[in-house]
Order: sequence, then C-alpha cells, then structure tokens
Amino acid sequence: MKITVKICMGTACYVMGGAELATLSEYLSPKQLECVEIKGVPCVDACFDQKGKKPPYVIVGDVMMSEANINKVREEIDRQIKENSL
Amino acid sequence: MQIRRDLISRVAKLLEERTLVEKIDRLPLEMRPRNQKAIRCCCHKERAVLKYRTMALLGFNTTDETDELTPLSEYARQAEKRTRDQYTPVQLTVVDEACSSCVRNNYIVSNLCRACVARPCMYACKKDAITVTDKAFIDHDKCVNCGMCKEACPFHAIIYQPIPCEESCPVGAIKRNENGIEYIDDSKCIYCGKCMVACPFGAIMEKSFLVEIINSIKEGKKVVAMVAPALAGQFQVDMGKMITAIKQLGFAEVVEVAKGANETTENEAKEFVERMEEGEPFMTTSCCPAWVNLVNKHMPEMKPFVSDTPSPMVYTARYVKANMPDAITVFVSPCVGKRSEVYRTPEVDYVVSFEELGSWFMACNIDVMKCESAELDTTINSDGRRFAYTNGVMQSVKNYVDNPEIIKDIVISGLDKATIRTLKGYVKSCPGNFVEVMSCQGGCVNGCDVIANPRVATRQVDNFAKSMEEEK
Repeated sequence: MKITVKICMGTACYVMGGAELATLSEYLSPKQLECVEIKGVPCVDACFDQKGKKPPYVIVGDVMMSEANINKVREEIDRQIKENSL
Repeated sequence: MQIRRDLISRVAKLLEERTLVEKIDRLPLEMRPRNQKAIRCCCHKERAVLKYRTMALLGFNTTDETDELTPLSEYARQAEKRTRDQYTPVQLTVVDEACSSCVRNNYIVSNLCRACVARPCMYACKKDAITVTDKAFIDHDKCVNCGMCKEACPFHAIIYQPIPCEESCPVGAIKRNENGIEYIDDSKCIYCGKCMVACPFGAIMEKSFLVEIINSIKEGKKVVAMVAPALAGQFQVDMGKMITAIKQLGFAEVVEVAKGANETTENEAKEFVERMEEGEPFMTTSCCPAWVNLVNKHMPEMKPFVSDTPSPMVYTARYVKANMPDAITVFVSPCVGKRSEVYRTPEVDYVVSFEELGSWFMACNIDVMKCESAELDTTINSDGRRFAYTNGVMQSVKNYVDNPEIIKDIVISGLDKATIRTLKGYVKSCPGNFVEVMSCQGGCVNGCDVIANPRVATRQVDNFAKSMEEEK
C-alpha cells in the first residue's frame, strides 16, 4: 500500500506557497519515495475556510494539512510510514 | 512573502468590489485581530507594519507620510485621483516600521569565547574596540567592521553576521541611517529587487499600480495585458489557459511580449553586425532594465557599448498602441526593474507583477487550472519565448544572423559585486564581442516577483517554446 500525497493545485494554494511543493519529490529519501505516490489535484475547495486555516493545502493519506510546506509534508509522511509500518 | 500576497489579494478584492476607500482602514485589523498570537511583539506593531505595506501597494513611498494620523483611506482617495505626472522614479520603499534594524556591527562575539590569556582579538583590533573580562566584548561605537578580530581568534568565537538586504545589494544602495533603519539611496539603486527578496522582515516593498489598473478596468476602459515570456513558467498550466484567466480579470486583450522579443532580436542582430563592421570591440544586450540602470548610474564608461535596441516590452507596446490607440497597456512583469523602465517609457502605462497577478486571481476566485485554453499567436517565433531564461537572447540573435560564427558570446547570469567588477573590466578589454547581461541568476524566471520555482519554470518555458515550434 502506498500513501498518496495530494498537492492542491488550485490558484490560491499555488500562489500562497504551493508552487514550491512542485519540487517535493527531490526532497524525499529513497525510502519515502518508495512509500508515496505524489499527485497534483485540482482545487480541494478549502481555500480560506473561516477557522483560521490557510493555504497551501496538501492531503497526505487522509490527513488534510494547511499551510503546508516541504518540511511539514515530509514529517507527516514519516509519521504515517511508521504508523502503518510500511 | 505569504503575508504580502495575502495583503495584495485583499487590496485587489476591495478594488474589485469598489469599496477601497470605505473599507481599507479596517484591513490591518482584519488581518491581525486582537486575540490572535502575534509573530512580532504585538498585534499593534503588526497592524502598523501592515498599514505601511498597504501604503506601498497603493503606490506611495512610506516617506510620503507627513502626518502619522493620515488614514489609509486618505491615501486610497489620493491614489484614485493620481495621474502619470505625479509618479516619481522611486520604485522601492523601506517600511521603517518593519525593518528590524538588524545589527550595528557585523562582528559579534559568540559564547564560544574562552577569554584566553593571549587575547589575540584585543591585539588584532587597531581601533581599541575590544575589552576582555569573562568574555571578549566589542564596543560598537569604536568598531569599524574590519574583521581582524575574527581572523585572529583561535576558537572561531567571533562570527560575522550579515545584514541580508545590504549583503544582497550589488551596488551598496541600501544603508542604515543614524537610527539603524535601512534606507535606499535612489541615486544608486538599480531596482534589481534583490534586497526585497533578501529581507526576512518584509520591510522592502515595491510601489504598485493595482489601484490604477483595476479602476481602469472597472471604468470600462480597454486595458491590454502584455505578458513577459517568463509568465509561461509561472503557473502549472499552458499559456492558453493563462490568457483566458487574465481575460477573466477584465483585460480586453492579452499579447505575448515574445512578439516584441522577435523584433528586438531582429534589430539587435542588425545593430550587432553594423557595430562589428564599424570596428567596435563588443556590444551588450539592453533588455534587462536593472542592467541598463547599472550602466546609467554606476558605469557611464560602458554606455557606448550597450545596444540601443529597445526592449521586447517597448516593441510590444508600440504594436498594441498602433493597433488600438485608445488601449491602456499593462506589462505583466517578473521584476521591479521593469517598473523603472516603464517610468521612462511613455508607450507603457502600468506594470503588474507575477505575484500581484497571482494574488489578484486569488481575490477573484479564478482557478487557472479550470480555465479553457485560448488560442495562441502562432506568428511568433519561439526564440522570443526563450528570452525568459539566461542565454535565451544570445541564442535568439545567433539563430537570426547569417553567420553565427562571428559571435563570440559571453553570458552574465546574475549581477553581484564580482560580476560587476568583471563587466567593468570589459570596457578595457573584452574576451568576447557580444555580452548578454541578466541581473537575476538564471534570467527572468528568477525575477524578484516570480511565483514558481525557477528550475521548474525554466523547464516549462522551454517546453512551451518547443511545443509551439512543433505546431508550426
């Protein structure tokens, strides 16, 4: 089983820092790369919800991350690899 | 960067709703409500910073302020009435409220100091600035930043702490005033935008034309967007979708500046051949505005060697004005440098940066990915699209001239203190005969206002250029 990493490609996410996430795969270890499948997805419709969450959004497995960046996503991938003992 | 884009987006939204004057004073409060955790000392400080950053977005210098009580709504009112003759050549402004006035001296004693008996730092200092008690201490009033103490310390206990904006400026245009706050000396600034990217406090802002542009559209004027070749790599969609998205903002027409780049290539190639026949030693390109500013302000001896051919933006604007005399021309730009070029170019009315464009899409809820693909101009030679990255201009000229072997090329990708020294040396003896200069490393895809990662963008621009060639 692979963990899917869905990067929101909506314009708000992209402008607010998501553009850098396009290089995510370059920052993953061989082990991480083995366990994940990275996809760019159309707008996940979470843009500016009123609960203080902000773009860019990334969905790792079934965890929705706001204000995502490469480091945060990497940590979450590691956590899920451990949890699912992949 | 994120705060700036959020701010741009909010200002654009107010302009779209035509409620700028009524609602702008509330903006800093909305962005920093009282009970939220502040990153700076408190929400009041952050609101003050946001106020002055908004001032820049309305097209003002922070130094234009004469009364601290003047509200943003008053500036908004003035901005809505502003005419071209009221503009100044200053394009960058320091938000003094945001500037952290980093360090007074670059040399700092760290806690690795062992207060050793020999005290080499004390003896190395020619200004008597160092005393040692339980640790070495540098008297900042005496220190002249020579760095001798750092060299002398056997424990590497003295560190050099750079000031990001000053370190990034290739011409020494940004300096501290007597209060330690940075200011930009306009007589030296070449508008490369490097300080703006370097400052982690967001203290340097470029002045914007958002008010003028959005109001012109809302008043029903015919506004034409002229998009820089680098735009093709900015959003992960094809150029056709980009054009549709820009039109959804209300632009009447979208023209690729690559069209003007073809004309620049043609004329620059002819000019090069002529100059060589006349026995001139070398010629440099002229499409990078920061490079032209550098020559004008710091290297007058280089002037005779800079190409007289106008930039792609100018040719494109002439084309637009010839076909649509009543059009308002807006250059969609990767950098602040183009703002300074527009100031001296009557054919171009306004500039909107890539970053502003992206934030504006956000304000209007336009999803670029979901746009339909518009038709592209197939008359453009794709070499013009490659002006976006380093070596693109050179290659384009080489492809145009009859015998490219006469070109001995030199490509300068990124201006810094070292490359400026090299360029100065070319006036006396130049190892080539055609010099391409781009202020940003890698070219316009790495401009100070870009959104995409420059490597990803370069690839995408190149793919776009190739795909259009194949279509022919």
